[in-house]
Amino acid sequence: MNAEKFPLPTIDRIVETHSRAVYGYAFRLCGSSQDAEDLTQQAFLTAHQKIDQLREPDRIKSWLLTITRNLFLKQCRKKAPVNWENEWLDAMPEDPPALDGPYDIEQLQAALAELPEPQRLILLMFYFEELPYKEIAEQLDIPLGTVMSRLARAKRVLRARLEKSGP
Amino acid sequence: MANHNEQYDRLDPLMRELVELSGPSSEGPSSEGLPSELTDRVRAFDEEVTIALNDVVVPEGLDARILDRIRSASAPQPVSPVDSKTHRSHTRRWALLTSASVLLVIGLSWLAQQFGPEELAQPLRLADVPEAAVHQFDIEGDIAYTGRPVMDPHPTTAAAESGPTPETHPISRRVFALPTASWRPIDDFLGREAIAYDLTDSSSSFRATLYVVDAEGAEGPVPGDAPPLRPNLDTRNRACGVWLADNRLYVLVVEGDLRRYQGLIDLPTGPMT
Repeated sequence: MNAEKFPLPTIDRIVETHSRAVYGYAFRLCGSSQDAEDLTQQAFLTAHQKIDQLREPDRIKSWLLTITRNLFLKQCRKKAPVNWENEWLDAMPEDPPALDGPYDIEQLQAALAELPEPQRLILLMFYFEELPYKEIAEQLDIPLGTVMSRLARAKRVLRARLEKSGP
Repeated sequence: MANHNEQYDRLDPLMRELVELSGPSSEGPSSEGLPSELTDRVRAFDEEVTIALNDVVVPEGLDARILDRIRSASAPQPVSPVDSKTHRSHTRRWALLTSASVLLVIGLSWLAQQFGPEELAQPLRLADVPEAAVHQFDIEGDIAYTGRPVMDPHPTTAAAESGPTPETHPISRRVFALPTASWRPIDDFLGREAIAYDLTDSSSSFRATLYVVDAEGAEGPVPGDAPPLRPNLDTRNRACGVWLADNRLYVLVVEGDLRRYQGLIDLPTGPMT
């Protein structure tokens, strides 16, 4: 058994170590602290119930973030269908701004909230889960080029919003 | 900190755009063939955003609440002590209830035979159809292509004969199907019996299924009488279109995007199903 080779930490320890990262991801996905906490609790509950499915214990954080994302998507799917084709054309700024930090953290969530969900999701998978393009494409079952172009546009929108708010 | 160094290359549309915007660079190219100044600036942006994204205030007591939820979900349900007398009483009651249930089922079956399935059909909420159909499609991955050829519409079992068949629920002429397409009866599609037509076969690179179900008693916004040009639901590599013809609801679910969906529907003018 996997668990015999690599003894897993207790659930208390897992929560203590990773609750911050999971909550942070949930918060950026949901946009509200109440929804984020609920999603975080669900994610840890699911992880606890499926801990025997964890193949690589040293990648437990990635596993938890994936569970969080999947639960979020499941909830979204119940709430409203997302059109992944045409959702972001209107959100593109006309002129790409310069790349200069630092960025106003206060404005970040507002900027994220303005992004259409598919863009936001890919952006967060890139930054939070640190997934390469190829893996994002595989997990969302969309072409690699689509991931690259959507991420590029999402970054551009994000940058424009952050620059607008000023350093 | 995000580690995407391998991705700062010319394949990235963002980098392409930056290179075009910047014009000739005074800096030498980096190992990936991009001006190193630009690579550094993009990397710095990524790092700043990563830091900012991770800067979230975690509510106090979160860990304790997570653990409480896990423990309450894991705890066994409380069972009240039952003495033997009570247990016997419950057993008798259980036997009576079981008998009553059996009689009820027999009665309902008789009613169903007398009045036909339409009178007893479950309410069908049209607004829920695309979502439910995609869900059905997703869980059917293992049983797709197990049906009989569309060219052979006759059911083989007595059970199938009492339910819908391709004769009562014909395939729509508005969709394209492979010659090897197959059909299978479904016991519970939106709470009703239906026919599923698998339009592709196991050698195809994608799945597409057309569900046909009685629309009797359907509630909600009435769909058009032909497949919509744009699917009613297009999400995460699933496209679903719904239309109503001859008092039957046609629900097409395609594995793929808008283009693939549109490739499977026929939108000519003229009187068709």
